[in-house]
Amino acid sequence: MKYRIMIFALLVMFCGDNHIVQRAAEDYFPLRAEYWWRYASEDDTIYVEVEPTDTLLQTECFPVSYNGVVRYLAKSDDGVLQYIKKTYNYAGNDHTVIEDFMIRIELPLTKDNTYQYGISDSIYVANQLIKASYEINGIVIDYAYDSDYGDIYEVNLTSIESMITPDTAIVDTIEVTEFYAPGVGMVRFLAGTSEYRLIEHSIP
Amino acid sequence: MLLYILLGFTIGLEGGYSLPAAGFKDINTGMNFSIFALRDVGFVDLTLGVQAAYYTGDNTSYHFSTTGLRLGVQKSKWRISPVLAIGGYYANRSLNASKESGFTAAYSIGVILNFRIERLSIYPKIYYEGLTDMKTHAGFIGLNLGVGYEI
Repeated sequence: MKYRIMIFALLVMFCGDNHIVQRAAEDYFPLRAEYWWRYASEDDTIYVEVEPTDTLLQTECFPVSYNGVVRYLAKSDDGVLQYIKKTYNYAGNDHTVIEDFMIRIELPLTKDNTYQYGISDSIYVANQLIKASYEINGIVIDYAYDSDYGDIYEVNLTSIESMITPDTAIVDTIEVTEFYAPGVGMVRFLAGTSEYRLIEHSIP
Repeated sequence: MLLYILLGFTIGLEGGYSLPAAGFKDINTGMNFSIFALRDVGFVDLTLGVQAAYYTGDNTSYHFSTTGLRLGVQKSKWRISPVLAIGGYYANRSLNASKESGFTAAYSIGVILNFRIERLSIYPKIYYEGLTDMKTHAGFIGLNLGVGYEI
């Protein structure tokens, strides 16, 4: 009888919904050329496709097209990097104020992890000081079991970008909540009042 | 009485180095250490051990560790012996101040090369250790060195 209770207790422990090996071993951000995902909200669809690698600032990265708008992403030991470039237009010419790769999602995803990264710089254009900054605040809120995908992480990201000139100060704050599944990547995201869900994807 | 029970037992220490072999792409390397007792129960030697392992991540702020019990079989009288073991571990993973934990089942298969000097046995061991939560399987290749003393 004792052995039966022990075996039952072991089965409950190892077959429960806490899949720590899955969360520790699987890739929550697959990034390879030709991978694609299609998301749909009530009135919109977004097609995300990874294009062949490119090199920016001596960093090999993947151009990722979001309905044609390209964002450059790369993976490092510490997380998913995003290429950030802010320019100031003066007299028809773009002047680069900040340009760098910065962590967007710290990896590996771990519940309750909070992080903050930022870049800022300034330049003189026509004797005027122009300042720009980009900051990202991330919180891995929690994970929850999903019968289709396994343990899904919920990540809240707030980006704050600013451009300050002697005359104006423009500050944009964007908040998104993204849900990542093992081996699939983002399966759902909330942007503003819209909720997008993954409807099909290809990860050969 | 205790001495009588312990007679015929070999007690020992084992430790070594491991690398991720399946899954665990965020882990760089790991170290493991175990204390074990071994007894000849007929055709095989049965081992019962307590093991702890600590792995560092590619992200230097990330760590993964396991602690648990392991039950295995081997043949200490053979110069080269296969080793098989199963166990249950309590696993922890942490990044910065955040932490997660859970239980995993573990299994390992490997080979040891036995050297004996009277009551002392020394063996190098190469093995694969798999971890599973019944949803995902992943594992490490390890190279250990063990020392045992027959009481």
